[in-house]
Amino acid sequence: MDNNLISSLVARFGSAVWDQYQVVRWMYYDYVRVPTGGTSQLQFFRVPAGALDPNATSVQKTIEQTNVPKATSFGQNYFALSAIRTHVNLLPKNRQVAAIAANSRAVSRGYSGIAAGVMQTAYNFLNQGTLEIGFGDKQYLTLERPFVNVPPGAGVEIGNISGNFPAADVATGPNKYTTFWTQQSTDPRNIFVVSPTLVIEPEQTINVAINFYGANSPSFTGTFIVDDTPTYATPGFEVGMIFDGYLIRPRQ
Amino acid sequence: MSTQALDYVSSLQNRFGTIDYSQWQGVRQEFYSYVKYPTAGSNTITFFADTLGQNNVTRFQTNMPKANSFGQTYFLIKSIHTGIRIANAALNGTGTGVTTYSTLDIDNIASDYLNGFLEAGYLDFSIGSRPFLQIPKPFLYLSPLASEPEVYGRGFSLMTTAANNQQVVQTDAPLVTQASGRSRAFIIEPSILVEPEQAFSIAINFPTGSVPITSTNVVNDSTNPLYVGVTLDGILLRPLQ
Repeated sequence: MDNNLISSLVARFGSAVWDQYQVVRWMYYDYVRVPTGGTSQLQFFRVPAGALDPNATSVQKTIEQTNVPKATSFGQNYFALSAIRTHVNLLPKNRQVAAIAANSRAVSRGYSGIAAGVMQTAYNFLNQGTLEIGFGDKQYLTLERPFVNVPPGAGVEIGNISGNFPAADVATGPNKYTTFWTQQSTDPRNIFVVSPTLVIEPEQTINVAINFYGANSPSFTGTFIVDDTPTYATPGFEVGMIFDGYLIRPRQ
Repeated sequence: MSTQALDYVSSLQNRFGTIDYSQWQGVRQEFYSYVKYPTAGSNTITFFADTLGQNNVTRFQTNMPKANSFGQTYFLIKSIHTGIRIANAALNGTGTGVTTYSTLDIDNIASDYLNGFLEAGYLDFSIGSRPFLQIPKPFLYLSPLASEPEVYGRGFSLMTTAANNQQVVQTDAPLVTQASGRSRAFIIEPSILVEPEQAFSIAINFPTGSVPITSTNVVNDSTNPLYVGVTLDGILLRPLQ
């Protein structure tokens, strides 16, 4: 059956009036929690807002984390996928565990003040993984190291981030105050462009995952330094998958 | 309404309409709305709900002709961006001393940029009650078009001697801004045409929970408030003078 015949049938007998559809720029996004001890797989677009994050079943998703209308599908709309972004995001301080949320020097010391600290681990994390995208049972994209090959193309610019000694702590010596920060590329020219555009049809099953073959992703357990005792805490990260493109939906 | 119906309306307008559309002009325009980001955080930050002259709102906050509408003009939205501004950014922090900063998160606004409300929230832009944009972490993805000031010469500021005779490098406080510039514009393609008197709403919501300001020694709701804003860039269609 060719497209012309289908088009003719749709025009004469179809239940949708296609000249009443509109096209809007749209992002479908899904942020999932990274299991702090490491994981072999992160799955995306598995559940809509209101459901529990499959990677952290104590976390209920809201529209902050995902805007997909239903599990593994974009529902009754067409979506033309034109670009993909991933985003490794450190949770805001007040959404971290209490030991971090209440820490007075989280940013200036806690996240990177030890050799295998949060930012060192995050750097290693960014250089791992394989992104696999399929529709139905068919594989469409396989990309190595997605966090560097498929960056968010957005973020903050860091002019200066370095450790310092509060006067009262100089006597302790230069041991735990080195500070640096790790993030993905914020240059919008670096996002992964899908060309030709991929049209995802209504109710099409979407399978998107980042797999960590060979070994689990790095563990963030105990990578945050709380104090000089020393005491350590475990920071929370989320990974976002953003499908950028065009939503094709009925007009109002 | 079908294409045929549009033709019919157009024909009626030409013959009997009260507006002469051949006398309209298109000009580039930006509409912006800045509101305070409360230090305690909020579950919803609403934009474009104020209009000039009401509640002491000046052009510092907005240039909207009326709340949630562009009034009697059409506006073709071509891009959208966010902004953050504060009267005193206190680049060297607010901690002890004049040549060093305290390393406390409350003393430098970089804490909020790196690990605060910029890493949360989503923007909802609806016309009528229908969403036209949903953007996660809008302060990251909707970069400002205006380029942030460039600051040079930061880094080492002082060397001091620790008690055990080790030389210790003291550095300036962190400096972090939104990634900015016109090359980062979030283009709305196809553009969105908002018709006269059409009600629209823009809000940044935090349904997972509000995110308070961390640098509370810098940001102060009454003496040094932090403003966050949304700007719509596009083409205003209005009657010729």
